[in-house]
Amino acid sequence: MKTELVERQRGGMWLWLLQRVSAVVLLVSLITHLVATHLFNLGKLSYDNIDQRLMSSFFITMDILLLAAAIFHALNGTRMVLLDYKFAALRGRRLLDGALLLIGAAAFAYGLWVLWPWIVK
Amino acid sequence: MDHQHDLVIVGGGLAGLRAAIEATARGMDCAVVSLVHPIRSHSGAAQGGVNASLRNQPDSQEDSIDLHAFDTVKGSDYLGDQDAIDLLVQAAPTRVFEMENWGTPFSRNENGTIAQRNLGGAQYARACYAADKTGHYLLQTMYERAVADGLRVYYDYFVEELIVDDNTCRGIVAYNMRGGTIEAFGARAVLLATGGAGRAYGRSTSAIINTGGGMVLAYRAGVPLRDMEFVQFHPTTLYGTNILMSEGCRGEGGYLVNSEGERFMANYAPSFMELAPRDVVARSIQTEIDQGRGIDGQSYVHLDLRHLGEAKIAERLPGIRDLCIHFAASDPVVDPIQVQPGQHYSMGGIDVTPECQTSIAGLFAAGECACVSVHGANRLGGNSLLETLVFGKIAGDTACDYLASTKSAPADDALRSSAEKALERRIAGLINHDAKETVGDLRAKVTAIMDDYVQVYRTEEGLTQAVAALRDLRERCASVKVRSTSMLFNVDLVRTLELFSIVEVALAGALGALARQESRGAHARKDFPKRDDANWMKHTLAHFKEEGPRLDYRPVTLGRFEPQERKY
Amino acid sequence: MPEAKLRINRYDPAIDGPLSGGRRTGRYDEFTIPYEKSLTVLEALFAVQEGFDETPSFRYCCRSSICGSCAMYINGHYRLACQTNARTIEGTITIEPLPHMPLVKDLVCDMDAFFAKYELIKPWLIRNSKAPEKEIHQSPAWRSKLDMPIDCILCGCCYSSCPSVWYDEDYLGPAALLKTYRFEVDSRDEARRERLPYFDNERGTYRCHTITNCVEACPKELNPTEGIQWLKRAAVRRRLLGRWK
Repeated sequence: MKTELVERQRGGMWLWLLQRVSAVVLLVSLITHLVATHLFNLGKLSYDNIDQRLMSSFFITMDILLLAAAIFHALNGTRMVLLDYKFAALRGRRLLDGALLLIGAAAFAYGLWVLWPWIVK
Repeated sequence: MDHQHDLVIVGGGLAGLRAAIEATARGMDCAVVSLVHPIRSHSGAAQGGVNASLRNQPDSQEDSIDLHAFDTVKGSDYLGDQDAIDLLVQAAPTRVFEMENWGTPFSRNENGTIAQRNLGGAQYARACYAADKTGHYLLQTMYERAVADGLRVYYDYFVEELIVDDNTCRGIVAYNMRGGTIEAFGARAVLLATGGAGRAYGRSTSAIINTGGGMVLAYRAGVPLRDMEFVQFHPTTLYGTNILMSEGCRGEGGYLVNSEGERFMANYAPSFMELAPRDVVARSIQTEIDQGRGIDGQSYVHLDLRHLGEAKIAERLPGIRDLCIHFAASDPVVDPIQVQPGQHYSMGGIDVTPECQTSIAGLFAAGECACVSVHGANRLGGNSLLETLVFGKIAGDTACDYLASTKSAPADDALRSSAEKALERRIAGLINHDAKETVGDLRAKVTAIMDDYVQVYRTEEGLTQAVAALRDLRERCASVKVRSTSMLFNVDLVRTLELFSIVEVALAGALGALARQESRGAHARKDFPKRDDANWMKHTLAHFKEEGPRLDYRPVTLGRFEPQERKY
Repeated sequence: MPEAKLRINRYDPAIDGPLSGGRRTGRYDEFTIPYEKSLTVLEALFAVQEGFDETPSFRYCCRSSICGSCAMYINGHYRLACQTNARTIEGTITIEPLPHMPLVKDLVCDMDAFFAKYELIKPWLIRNSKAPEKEIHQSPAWRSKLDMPIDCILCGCCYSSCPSVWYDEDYLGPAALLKTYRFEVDSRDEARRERLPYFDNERGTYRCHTITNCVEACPKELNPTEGIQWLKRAAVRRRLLGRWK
C-alpha cells in the first residue's frame, strides 16, 4: 500500500451522498414516468399525448429530474466500478473524472435542448 | 544486518510493550523483537481482570491498597517479597486508569466507572474487567498506544542468544524466519519480556510459543532462575484442550460440582468457597478426582453456570460461551462445563530485583518471565495483568536510568558478526535431514513427565523419577537434529530450539520441587504436607551448569504482614 | 480409529520460484492422520510436521482462537485452523493459505500491508481534553456500542475475502475500517477530523460496496460492513451537520 496515495485521495463523501440522493430521485421520477407513460396512457401514446403531458410543470420537472438523476447516477456508478479496478493513480483519475464530467454535461445539455420547447412554454 | 538500538526488548506482550512506551517517552531508541506479531502475544488470552483497589462497586467500599497487599501476601503463602508487592499494589490504580485513559474498553457500572469483579483470594471485588477478554483488550490498547508513539517492531524473529561480554549485555542474536537469516542486534540494554514456560507441560493453558525461551537466555548467561518449582495450576481449564476457563466464571457466581452433585469447595474453603485462591481450588478439584468423585469417574468436575442465566452469561462471559461451543461442543447456558486443573502460570522465572534488574549489567526482565517476586508461591487472579503494567513501566524506567548513566557500548560490528556466525554454525550443525530421534517424541516425553510427576500434588518418589528422566532427556536433546533443511520459516528449527529451553526449565522446576521439603502455595508435597517457615521461608535459585542446575537459596523479604496460617 | 485426510497447499520459493501477488502454486501434499476423539486442523498440521513431513510452514500461537495467527482457507471457507475440527468436515480437508495475500511459504502469508493499513488510521484513543484523575466515565449504553468491533483479532480473514481489496491493493480494507469504527464510535474518543481524511477517502469507505464477504468470512462473527456504513454516515454527519457521534 502506498501511504501517500491513500493520504492524497481524500474526499468522496459528496459523490456517495449524491449517489444515494439521485437514487431516491430516480426512484420517484422513474416510477412517475413509467406509470404516467406506460400504465395510464397505454395504447394512447402519440406526439400529442406526450406534448400534453409535458405542458404541465409537474411532468416537465419530473422529466428534468429524471434526466439529471439518471445521468449522474449512471456515470457516477460507472466511475465507482472503474475506480475499483483501474485509475488508481491520481493522474489517470483526473483524466477519468474529466471525461465523465464532459460526457455528463454533454448528455444533460442535449436532453435540456430536446426538452427546451416545453420548458419555455 | 545492521540493527542497533539503545534498548532491545525481547517479547511484544503487555510487559514488553509497556516498557517500550516508557522508554520511548524518555527519548530512547528502542525496538521490540518478537517471535510473533505483538498483537498475537499470549497476554491477549488473559480473561478475568486486572486488579486495582478502586472501590468502584457498592460493596467494595471498605477495600484498600493495604488490603490488596495483604491478600497478595497471604495468597503468595508468604513467599512473596513484600517490598515488591507494595510496589505492585500501590501503582495499581494509576496503571489501570492509565490503560483506561489510553482506550481499554472496560466493562462499566451504571455510573460509568470501571466495573470490578471478585476473583480468587480477594476479600473485595477489585478485578477490573472487560467482559471476559480483559487481556485481549488490554493488549490491543497497549500495542495501539505503542504504535502512536512510533514503536519499531521486528516480528517473526526467534531470539536464540544474548551477546554478553564482560558481564554486560550488549545485544541479541535472532533467527529472522521470513528472511531466512541470522541477525544480530547491538543494544546498550536488553529487556526480556518473553512470558512463561507453560509448554513444559502437556496440559497447559499456555500458547504453543510459551516455552521459557527468554528465561533460558538469561539462565545460560549466568542469571539464576528463581522459584521454578512454583507452577500455578489453574483450577478450571477445559477438559480435552485445557483452554482457560476464566476465574471470572466463579467470580460471577459459577459453582464447582462433583459427581455427587455437591459444591465440594465447602469441605476445603468454607469461607471463600469457589473463590479461594487458585492453588487451594486446584488441589480441591484434584483431590475430588483422585478420590473418584470426578464426573463419571473421569478426571474432570463440573463448572456450572446454568443458574446465572443466558442474559448474564451473554453480557459477562460471552467469550467463555464461545470457547465451550467451539472447543467442547457444549453451551454453558444449558450444560455444565467439564473442567480440570491445568498448568497456567509460572510464578518462577528470571531472578530480578524489584527494579527489574538482573545480575548482568544491561540485562533486565519483566512480566511472567521474571520473578520479582510478587506472587511468591501462588498468584492471585488479576495480579498477573497488573504485574505486566506495573513492572513493564518499572523495567522501562530502570533500563532508561541505566542507559543514561552507563558508558557501555552496544555490540560493535565485529562482535555482532562473530555472534551471527557462531549461531549460524550452531544451527548448521543442528540440521540433519536423516536424523532418527524426533523432536516431537522427545517433547512428548518431557511434557508427560511434568504432567505426571510435577503436578498439583507431588511426592518424593515421583519427583526423583522426574529428575532422573529429565536429566536423561536433557542429554538426549544434545543429539536431536532438525530435519527440515530450508532456512525459510523453518518451524522445525524453532520448535527444536524451543525444546532445549523446555527441558531446562522443566529440570530446574523438578529439581527445586524435589529439594523443597514442605508444602507452600502451589507446591504441594504429599510427604511434607505442611508449610515449614523455620526451614523454607526462602526462594530457590537455580544456577545453570552443564551437568544440570545447582540450587541455592535466598531469604524472603518480609514486611508488615507476619506469616500466619493460611486458611480460606 | 477415525482418520483425517489432509491436502496441504505447498509453496517454497526455492522450489517453485517467485510468486507475485496472490498467485498460488497448485501444488499439494497429502497426508492421513489418525486421531482419537477430536482433531483440530491446527493439531493435524502439527501431527504432519512432527510425524510425516517436517517442512510445512504455518503460523500458530494460542490455539484457542484469540490470537488470530492461524487464519487459513479450509475447504473453501475462511477459518481459524485451531477452531476447525476435523469431525465437522466430510472427506478430504484441503488447507490453503489466505487467498489473494502475498505468500511467504506454504501457509504463511505476508501480513505487512494488512498491519500497515491498520496502523495508518490512527488506531488509538484520541483525546484533546485534560486527562481526568481517574477513569473517563462511559455509560453501559455507549460501552455496548463497542461490543462488536473490539472483538476483532486482526486475523485477516475479512481482508483476504474482500473483492474490493483483491482489485485495489490500496483500499484500506474491512479490518482497518472496522478499527476506525471502533474508535470513532467510542464515546471517549475526541477525534473530529483526525481520522476523517482516511475513511472519507476514495481508498477508504467508498470502496466498500456492501458485498459482505467480510461478514461471512469473519471467524468471530463480526460485521465490518455495518461499521463501514456507519462511517459513511458519520462523514455526512460531521461535515454537513457538525455532529460527531
